[in-house]
Amino acid sequence: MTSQEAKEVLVLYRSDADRNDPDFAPALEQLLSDPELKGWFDQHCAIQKAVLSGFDQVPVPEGLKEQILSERKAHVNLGARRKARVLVLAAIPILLLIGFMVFYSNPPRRPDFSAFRLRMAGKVLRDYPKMDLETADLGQIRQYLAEHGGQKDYSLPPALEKTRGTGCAIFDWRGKKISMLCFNSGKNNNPKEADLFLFIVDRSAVREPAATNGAEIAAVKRLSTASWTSGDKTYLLAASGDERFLREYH
Amino acid sequence: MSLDFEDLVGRYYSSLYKFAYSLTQAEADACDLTQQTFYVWATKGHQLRDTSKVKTWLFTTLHREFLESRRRHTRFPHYELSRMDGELPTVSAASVNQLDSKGVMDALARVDEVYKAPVALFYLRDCSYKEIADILDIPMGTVKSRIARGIAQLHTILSGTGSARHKERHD
Repeated sequence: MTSQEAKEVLVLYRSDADRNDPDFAPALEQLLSDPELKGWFDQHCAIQKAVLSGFDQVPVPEGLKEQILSERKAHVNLGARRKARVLVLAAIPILLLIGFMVFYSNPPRRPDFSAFRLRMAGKVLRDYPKMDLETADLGQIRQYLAEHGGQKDYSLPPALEKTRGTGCAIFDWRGKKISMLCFNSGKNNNPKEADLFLFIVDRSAVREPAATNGAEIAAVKRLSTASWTSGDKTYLLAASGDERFLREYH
Repeated sequence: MSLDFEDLVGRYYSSLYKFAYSLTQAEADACDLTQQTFYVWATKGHQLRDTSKVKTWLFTTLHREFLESRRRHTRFPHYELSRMDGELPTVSAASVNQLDSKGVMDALARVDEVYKAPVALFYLRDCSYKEIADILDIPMGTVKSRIARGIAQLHTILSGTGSARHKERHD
């Protein structure tokens, strides 16, 4: 093995993780008889140690673990509540009464709207185009959502009512049912590609829902968002365009 | 291996967050990816038959979620170099002493996308080369090639000789 070949092997060596990897043994052995290689390797290790230390010191946000666990608990709690509801409905009125008393004396903690907005923005950037139904017909979308457990009786802003749909999806977020409607503004090259995403959640599902007296505009991640509450539903419209583009649709 | 949700979160959330941060360079996006990864585990993890592969499964899921989010925004340049060419650039002792996590992450942000994930997994030290290959779904030889090239770029950036990107592309 030449000195250069040994360097090509040793550049991948992590002293703690690869110590017992036999692939590195010949190159490590060569360090004993090659002073130039040894000098290079010592310097390389010093840099690697500093970079590794940099990785180790990346701060993990406080509360992230608790957020992950609470999201899971909300999901599990919802499942448990659903099962309990079925049993209660099948049981005698006294159990029904007790069940309701327990439920109302310990209401589940609802996520707040800002967390909802942040996660939905993440969903637009990550999950699209995973839609349950792909169609341009807004009537079909409405019917699908109604028949598959999504939000019913939602009202679209007039400009969105006139916009071409691309599809919809229904999913759970922290145990709450969310409907996502996707639209194409006609301003991008692909008529099937959505550039407007409307999320609908029951108003009671989130704490501090969006205002009822007009839309609140906010930039979230790489998106512009508008949010408002109307009736028993809270709406979040997200677009990859700027605020001016978004304002045309709500 | 315990598959208790809380145990898994406690064991891997920090490493997964750091991996996500290495890829996104944004705290909110990294938190979101980490949360999403455990959400996917909570809903689909039961499908994993070989429980010894939980760690690989989690990192793979996070990486896939990241790629999905970037799919519509970025086209990754794909090119392979079978071996390192030339010496690694020299990084001065002063530069090394001044390195902190921000400096390292800023430098990593300038490394070509195709090398970023392998290099991050390499430095996180949670995964063997075989596991990195499984996570990224590329052959072991390609993993090693990309890590070597990525380290070379990182050292070039840390040495202050400018962005490695353009130089490497024209090699």
